[in-house]
Amino acid sequence: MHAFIGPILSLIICIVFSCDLVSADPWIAGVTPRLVGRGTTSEIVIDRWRHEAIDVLFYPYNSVRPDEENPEQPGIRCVGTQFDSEKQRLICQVEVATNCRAGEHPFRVLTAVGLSSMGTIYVGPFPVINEEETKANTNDTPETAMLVEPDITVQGTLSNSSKDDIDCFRVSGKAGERLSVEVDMVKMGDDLRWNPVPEGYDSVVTILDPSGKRIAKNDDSSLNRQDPLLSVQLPVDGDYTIVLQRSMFIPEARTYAIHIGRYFRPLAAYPLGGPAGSSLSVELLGDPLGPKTQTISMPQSSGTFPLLGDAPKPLTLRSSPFPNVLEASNDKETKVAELPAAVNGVLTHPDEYDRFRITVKKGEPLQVRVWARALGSPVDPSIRLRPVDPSGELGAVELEADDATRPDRDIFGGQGDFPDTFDPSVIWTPKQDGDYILEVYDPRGAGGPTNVYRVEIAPPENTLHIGLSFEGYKPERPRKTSLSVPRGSRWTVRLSLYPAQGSNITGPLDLSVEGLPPGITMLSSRIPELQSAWPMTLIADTDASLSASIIEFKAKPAEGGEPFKTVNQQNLQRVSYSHYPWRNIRVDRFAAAVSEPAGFEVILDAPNQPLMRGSELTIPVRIVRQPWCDEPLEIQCEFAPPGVGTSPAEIIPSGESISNLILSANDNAKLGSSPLYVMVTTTQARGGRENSSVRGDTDQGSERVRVSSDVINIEVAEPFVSLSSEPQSVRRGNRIKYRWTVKQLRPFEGQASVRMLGLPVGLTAVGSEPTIDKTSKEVEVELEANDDALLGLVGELKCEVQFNIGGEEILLRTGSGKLRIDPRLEK
Amino acid sequence: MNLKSILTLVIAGLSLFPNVIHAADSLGDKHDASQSNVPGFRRDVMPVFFRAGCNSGTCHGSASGKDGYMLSLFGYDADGDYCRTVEEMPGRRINTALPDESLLILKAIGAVPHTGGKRFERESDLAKVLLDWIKAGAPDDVGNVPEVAGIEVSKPSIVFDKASEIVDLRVTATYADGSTRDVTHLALFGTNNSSIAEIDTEGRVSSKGPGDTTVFARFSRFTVGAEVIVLPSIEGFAWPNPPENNFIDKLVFERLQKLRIAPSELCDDETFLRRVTLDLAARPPSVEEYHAFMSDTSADKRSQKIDELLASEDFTDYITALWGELFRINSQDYTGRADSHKPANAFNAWLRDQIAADRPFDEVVADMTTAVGSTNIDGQTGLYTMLIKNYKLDPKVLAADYSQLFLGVRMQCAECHNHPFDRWTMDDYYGFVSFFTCVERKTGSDSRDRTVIFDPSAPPAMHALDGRRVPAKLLGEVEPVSGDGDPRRALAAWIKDPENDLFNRNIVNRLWAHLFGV
Repeated sequence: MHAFIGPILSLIICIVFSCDLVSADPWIAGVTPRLVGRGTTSEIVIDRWRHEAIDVLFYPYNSVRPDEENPEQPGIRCVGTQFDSEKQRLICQVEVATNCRAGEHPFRVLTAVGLSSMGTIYVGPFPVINEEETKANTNDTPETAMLVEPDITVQGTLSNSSKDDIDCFRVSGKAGERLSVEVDMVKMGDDLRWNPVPEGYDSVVTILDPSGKRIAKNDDSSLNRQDPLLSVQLPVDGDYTIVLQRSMFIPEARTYAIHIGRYFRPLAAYPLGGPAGSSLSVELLGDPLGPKTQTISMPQSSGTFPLLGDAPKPLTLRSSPFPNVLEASNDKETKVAELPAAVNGVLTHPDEYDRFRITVKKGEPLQVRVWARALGSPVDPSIRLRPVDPSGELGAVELEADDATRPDRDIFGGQGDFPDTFDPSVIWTPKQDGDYILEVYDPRGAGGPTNVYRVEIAPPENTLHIGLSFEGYKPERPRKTSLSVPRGSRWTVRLSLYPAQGSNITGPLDLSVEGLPPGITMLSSRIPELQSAWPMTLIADTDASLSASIIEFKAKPAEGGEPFKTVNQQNLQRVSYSHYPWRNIRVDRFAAAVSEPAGFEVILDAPNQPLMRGSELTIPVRIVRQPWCDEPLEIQCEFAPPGVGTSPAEIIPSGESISNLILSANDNAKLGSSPLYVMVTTTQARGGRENSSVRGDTDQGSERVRVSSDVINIEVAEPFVSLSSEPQSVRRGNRIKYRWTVKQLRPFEGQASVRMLGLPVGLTAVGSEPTIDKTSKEVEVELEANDDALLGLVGELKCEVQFNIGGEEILLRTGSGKLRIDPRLEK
Repeated sequence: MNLKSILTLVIAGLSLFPNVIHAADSLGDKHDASQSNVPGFRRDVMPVFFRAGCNSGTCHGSASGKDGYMLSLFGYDADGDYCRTVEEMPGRRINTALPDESLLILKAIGAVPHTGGKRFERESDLAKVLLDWIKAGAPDDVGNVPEVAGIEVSKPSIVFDKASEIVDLRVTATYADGSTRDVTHLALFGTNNSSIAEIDTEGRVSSKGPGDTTVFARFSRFTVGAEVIVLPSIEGFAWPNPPENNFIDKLVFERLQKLRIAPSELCDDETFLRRVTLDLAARPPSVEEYHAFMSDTSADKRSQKIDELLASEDFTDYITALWGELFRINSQDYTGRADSHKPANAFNAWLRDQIAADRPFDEVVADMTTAVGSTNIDGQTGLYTMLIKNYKLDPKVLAADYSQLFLGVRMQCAECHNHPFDRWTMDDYYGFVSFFTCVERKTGSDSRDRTVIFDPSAPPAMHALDGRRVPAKLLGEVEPVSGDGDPRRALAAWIKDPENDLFNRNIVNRLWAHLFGV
């Protein structure tokens, strides 16, 4: 039977999700066109859509950026929106500055019911034209190819025709010239279905010479991943055909942008980074007309940043707070004067081992992090560390590393394929003082002129990464990830806290947030010690205007603690196959907004009594409704102390305002005070307008209005008493006073009744329930066995002790008893 | 030589048979290897086990022995055999005090119940060898005893003019020290077709009916054959003396002439066109092709047609598909998930490119052999994910498939014992497996992709008998391949070695079988 459950559930989930995605909003299932040009104001359409847009919020560049970029001006903004209610779509006028960075720009749309899911739009480096293939399969050959002039971007569609659609483009060129082609197809994929067919996004580009002979072909590459990228030197004068097709035929329409030009197309930079704030000379490698040297101004901050150039796909480099060491090309090994440092090299030849001599101190940990595939290099690096003994001989390998996990690479909250995981990253504590040799090699034995790498060797920097819990879900669930606080209400966010590799963050922490929209304030209690998640409450004033902003969470040590760095990150999946999304949109900040009033608030009173281990406690949840808010509401506890279970989500029917939250602490629940809150959501779509006829709420939670309770503290304590017993026996037809020994652990007031649990058929308690008080040492429960009772040993007998403390009912389950049931005596 | 060159020759010819080597003079012993009157265990006693069938797979040579007595299959483990024979049942199996009462002898001569029945007579030479050895105290051999290095038969080819003729075949063993020995009385004999020729236990070959077959002799771990031709009556036979177009024709005609078989007439143009188009393009000729060919009056139009088809896209597709099937290219990768279209396509596209470029096939196989990289991008790595449909890249399975596919050698038997019917030893097997113990697959750039890498830290394969690591060694070689790094490079170099008959013969045989069905 189990064999069938999985597939059936999967099918149900697929159906639910695939249906919901169509009707869900403010849900950005797709943006058309996906790409706009620089220096233009273009219309983009979000379809289907059911709301007036209040604002479109573009994310700024990630925090590490070249000096010439202004962090506050991403260079793209929305200058107008029109909601077409009949066609259920939103039209946005997007203005793109001439200096806007080419590439993907994430955004969210603010509506009256909150922020949308994340959408993205691409900015192309060249003028944009359309493929203009009105009928499929009409530009599939060199003869019917579309004539284009470089440098240009063509937006088109590989259609869903029954015959594989091939799109051909013709350009003229002269012998010796460069022709570069890049495709954005996977990168522009917005496929949010539960199980799409990602192969449909996977394309291949071929260049044919004037005679029709293939001179170049590209499918995948380490730099551009599944999207093709080509650059060739033309052999003769004439017309060349660029053929774009899927690498495998999937009859589903896929949009793309193909960039065709004569631009310089380097494939790698050497070195792959340098000191922050410095002026760095880099050699740009891999262009068919030869390398070039360029001097760049490094960002002031540390991290990964794009090296913008003529090509659409930029190279990425590292900025680091320590000096560079370059591989000495003629020496057997390269001496690294001091650490921390970043060593840089090229694995030019097959089976090449590059060696760097470093000097370390025993027991002082170092982070050894390689950067190669993460930055688009074709190298699949491995490292080895070997001590050098006083005679100069190499010792045994002390550390060897190849691939890394996502947490090793400080990637949290995402799923699927991150090329970073090809690059090793380890915390290494040397076992001896002195010199070591760091070997860098490619276990495939591959070598080549663009096989660049960089190894950063430095003491690990204490860093805390902050993300939103639940964002690993696919597809994104806006009710968890786009923070919309109803005016006059509060919304508690469950933050995930991830220490970076090698980080040692101890002691109490304080959380804060920067950049909140006007009228929103934040509440968060001190975190006593680092844990994986913590609630933070956002409160919108009653007069806050509907607005949105980009926010950044911060954490810092409480007084006297060791300082550490905070990084925000959100990885949202796109083009997923099962749990293997081909790409994640990564931003290093979040968005928050004020939305329309909820019409209700949630009152959750902290219990007066501690929650005992092994006990249950019921807390009332009260809803205070506005007169116009009479809809059913769903209540769910989202955060509870470790080891404390909560009752499942429950619907409070229309007209009712009370529910109960049952807390159940197991025997190992964490002692002490921990936060708890409940989230209450509407269950029907409001459509963003009063009396809206729009219906169809979704599992993603779009259009739900969400309000949380205050964060209350739950005290988990040892129980008042514990009961134990010795094995006992009873004959059928007889009674027994089953004795429990009472061990007093904490004093309590009044009487508590005792009831035995786990009694089998034929064994019943008789008489009234016995009681105990704070002086009791023993309690007896009278049981009677009849002829239905099965002979033999009955285990798993327990007691439920019911306390009534200060008007609150507390149920404690305790004890473990055994009773043997014997036959009647023969007469 | 590339595939097209081979096919050009093959398709233009008719048939190819093994060359006939006429009966050579029998080889005499160079010297008697035995230097003492006491039989040696390895040199004398073990051949008795072999001849009497004691160490065959159905008797004591089975994996767990028989009736409490186990011998290694055909004697691949002499040390173990001695230990089990002499030391397992002291005083019973071997009774040095009363040698005649040894069970080893009593069972073999049928004096006591024996599941295998009576194997030889009490007075036979075989029994005498065992008895003399036991009388001498059943000693183990001292020092290195030369192993058998090969055997030869006195006549590699026998031609009978008619039925009911007899020829004696002698078997000579050559030992590692260069000495030789007539082992006819210790060898086993068999025939591939008893309706043409039979051979008895003494190596006497008798002709039965017209045709050709092979009789073979086995001794130690070697098997050699002798071709036997029984000619049909010469009455009515006349050799038509057809023209030879190439060396294949020459070989085929020699053979046919020897067998007194007249070749068929050349087929007519229509038949030729149909056959050659089906063979090389996997389709019938089109109407246009038919008319063009039939109206062509040039003398070499058949050769031209062959060249035209070999240059066609259809041929490239067809050959790609044929090899693709042998390489098991499909979307089912080793994970068992049918989502590996991309690596399958990449492998197929790479293979097609090689065939379209008319690359020598040894180079193509060499490239696959040393492949590393992404299965999405580097198509040749597909050999390591498509050929082996298993979660684990088992080097033993890979070695077995590789050797069968590219060398025409089935060597799996040698995993547990020396190959019973071929020359491959366990050392050969584990040495060959060690070419692949260093190959690993790891996660690739997306869920479909795997990266094939060379793991320099991976140890060579472990010998199943003694647990020693056997470094990578080419088939038939004594010494392992030299040099650091990926041993597959030496294997690839061997594949490209023009002297590598195993590879060359296998590829030609595969094409021959494809075209002629034999």
